[in-house]
This record gives sequence, structure tokens and C-alpha cells, in this order.
Amino acid sequence: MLGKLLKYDMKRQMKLLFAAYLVVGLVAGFSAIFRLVFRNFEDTTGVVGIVRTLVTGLAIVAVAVMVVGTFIYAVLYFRKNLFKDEGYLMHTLPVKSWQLYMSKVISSTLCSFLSILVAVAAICLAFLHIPDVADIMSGAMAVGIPKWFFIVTIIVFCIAIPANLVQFYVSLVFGYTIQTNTKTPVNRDLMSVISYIVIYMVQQVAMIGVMLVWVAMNIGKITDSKLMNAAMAGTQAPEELLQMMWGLYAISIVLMVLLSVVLSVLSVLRMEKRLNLS
Amino acid sequence: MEELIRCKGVSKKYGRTLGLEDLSLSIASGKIVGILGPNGSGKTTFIKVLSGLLMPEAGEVLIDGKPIGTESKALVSYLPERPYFSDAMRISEVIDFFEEFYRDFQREAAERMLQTLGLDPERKISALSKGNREKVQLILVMSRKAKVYLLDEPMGGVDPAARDFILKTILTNYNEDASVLISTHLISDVENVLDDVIFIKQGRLALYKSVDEIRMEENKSVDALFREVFAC
Repeated sequence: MLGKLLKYDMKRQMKLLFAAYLVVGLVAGFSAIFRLVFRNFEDTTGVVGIVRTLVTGLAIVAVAVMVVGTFIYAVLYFRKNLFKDEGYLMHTLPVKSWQLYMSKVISSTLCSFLSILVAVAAICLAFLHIPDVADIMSGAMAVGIPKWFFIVTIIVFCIAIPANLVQFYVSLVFGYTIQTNTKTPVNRDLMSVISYIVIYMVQQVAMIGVMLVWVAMNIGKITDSKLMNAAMAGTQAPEELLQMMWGLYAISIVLMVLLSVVLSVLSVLRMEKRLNLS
Repeated sequence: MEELIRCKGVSKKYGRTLGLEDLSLSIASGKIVGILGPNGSGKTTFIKVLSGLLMPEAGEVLIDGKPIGTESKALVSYLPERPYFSDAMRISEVIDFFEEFYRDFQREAAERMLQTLGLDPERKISALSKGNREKVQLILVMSRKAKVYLLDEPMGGVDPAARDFILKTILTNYNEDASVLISTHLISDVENVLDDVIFIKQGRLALYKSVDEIRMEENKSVDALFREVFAC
């Protein structure tokens, strides 16, 4: 059943996203054509330069709107499909709550990755330039940044997308299943926003707390560390900095995964035991 | 006749407002049952509890011996009182959706009924009138060979001709071993097709009798008894 739900959710979300990809592709393509046509044009008045900046700027704005829009749409789709009128269809299907929930997490994560890939492709097209990743990496490695740093950065980024979605989803689940003793109906969207703020703050406090403990245990007092001294003196301390970065990345990955699992379990339990579509 | 639905001490509150209170009843298979009551009496709450959309605070609900969950949902065909298909979908996509998720869905029956209505399966849900949307929903719900049909206000807000179509669709398509629960306040329209009636008053069971019993014992129509029981 999870496969069927995934197919349905992907199809529903991709319908709108394909339209967005088409628009972004057209804008980026227009920017590319403009650059190609006026590549060797001598412009004494600077008009071409201004127009080129505007066209390229438009492409960047379109890409940014598409990426942010994908994320916002994923959250709104979750709300609409599970807690508004469509929820009457979804919650009466012979499927388990965790399947409904995971289908949304997986499909929206895949859509977000796809939007990011389209965004990178659109930027390359708009600037008519494909960056040489190997070149960038070897340049960075020359100044002491190791290969693993790039790999771990990508991993953190990939985990951060579903982790952030889960944070929004759990807020909506709590907001829409909350029961109060007041006679007047509660504003469930407002409850979701409040839930989000509380969950976000708890998560941040937990993460910062664990990171500070790690730093204190491994690097010693921050104010007394070689890293801080080097920073104050304006010199580099790459080894210690990299060691700290590696530790912080590892903690981030573990905490993000752990918190996402905990929040997802809470969401599913809440949907199973406290569903309140009214 | 086997017992299909069993509720024991079911209570549901919305904050301080009572939805259902200590509701206990059992419904046998092969019956068309009217869930009757004025607005806000608890009809929709009862149907939502049976369909798994609301979790009661107390009590036990069993559908064909199974507690509310994935297994019970596979047996229940539910029609809500509101449009619940995505506007972005086409009728054919909704048919595909039902076919994928419900083993008891009969595609041919759905397509035949849509053809009778003259509705093109490639039309978008958003392009349908309110009445046609309701008819499409009903067609899909009634195209399942379910054990329990829960129909919440199936004739609410439609013209008399559409009501006739809706009633005809229900009567000609339901599985005869199943129970059909129809929540409505349009009693005169459904009275002739009902086997039993359940009156719900302020969340409590006020009456559960067969239509024949009401006519014989009370010497009244269901409509007349309803007006008496729920007189303001």
C-alpha cells in the first residue's frame, strides 16, 4: 500500500511542480539566449549589460521561488491531503497511518531533491556556465579542506530536507488533532504554528546543548582553546577547526535522524489515536 | 442475520460540547438503517466514529467483529457530507484511485453509472457542478461491494430529481448482505426505503426501531414520529 500511496502523492505533487519547472526552464533559457546573442556585442551605452543583469536576476528569482515554493507546497499538500476535505478520503482508505505519513515524507523529499537539481541546471543554463566540481574540490583541498568535508556536507544537506519537512508535519499533526475544553472551535492553523514554534525551540535547545557539551568535552574551554586563540590572532587553525567541524557534523546527523524518528513516531501515534477530522 | 456493527458505551466530546454519550447499539446485516436527528444531534459524529475519522474517548466499536482500523476500513464504504476528491483530479483518475485501494471496487459498475449520467470520465472534478460532484462521489462509493455503507447526508443540498437519482443508485447498487446507514433529515424522501431507524438526540440513542414497528405500534409515519420526538 505504501507504494500505491507514493505513486499517488508523487503524481499529485509533480503536476504542479512540472509547471514550475517549465517556467523556470523558459526563464533560464531566455537568459541563456540573451547571453549567447550579445556575447560579442560592443555596448557603449551599457543598456545590454543592464538588460542582461535583469534577465539573469529574473532567472535567479524564478529558481529561488521554485525551490522555496516546492517546500511550501509540500507542507500545504500535507495539510490539505490529510487534514482538510481530502483527509476524509485518505483516512478512510484501508492503509495504516504510518503509511499515509511516510508516503508524504518520502514523496515530498524526492520532489525537493528534484527541484534542487532543476534549480542547479537552470542556474548553469542561465549563466551558460557549468562549474567544474573537480576543480573546486582540488582548490579547496589545496588549502587543507579534506574530501570527506564535501561528502559529509552533502549528507547533512540531504538529511536536513526530510528533517525539516518532518518538523512541519508534526506541527500540523499536533495542530489539527489538538483538543481543548473551550466551547468555541480552535483555529487549527494557529495551533499548528504554535506547535511549530515549540518544537523548533525544543529542537534547537537540544541541538545546541549537545553540541556545546561535545565542544567542551573534546576541545576544552572554548575561550581557552587553540582555535579561539588562533581566531583572535587572525591565524588559521585548520586541523582543530576540521576536527570540530567533523564532530559537529556527526552530531548534527545523529540528532537530525534521531529527532526526525521521534517526531515521526509521535505524528503517527497522534494520527492513530487522536484523529479528529471535523 | 449476522451482527455487522456493534457499539458499546461510545462517547465523544468536542471540548465541552457533547458529540455522543454512552451510545450502545448493534446493527445487523442486510438492513437499510436511517440515522435520524436534528442538526447537531450527533448523526455525523456517529458515522465518523464508524468510519475511523473520529476517535471516541470511551467505548468500543466493532465492524464485523473488527475494531476500527485498517481491516474495518476495508469493509466500509463511506460517503461524507462534503466533496472529498481533489479538484485537480479527473473522474478517470478517481476511478483508478478507487480501483487501486479497494479490492471490492467494481470498475465496470462505476463506468456504467457514469455513462448513464452522461459524464465524460476525462472531465476534471473542478469542472463538475455541485450536484454532479455529489453524484460522482456516490457512484464511486456505491460501486464497492462493501459490507457497510455509511452515507452521510447523501441528499443534502440537491434538487428533488437528483435525490431520486441518488436513492435509485443506492437501492440498485448496494450489496444485499451489507448494511446501509443513511444519515439524513430529509425523512420523507428516504422513509419508504428504510428497514430500521435510529433517532439520535443530543448524542444519545433516543429510539431504535424497525419502520414496520413504528407504523404498527405508533400508528404513525417515521416523519410524524420524528416531528413528535424532536419537537422544539
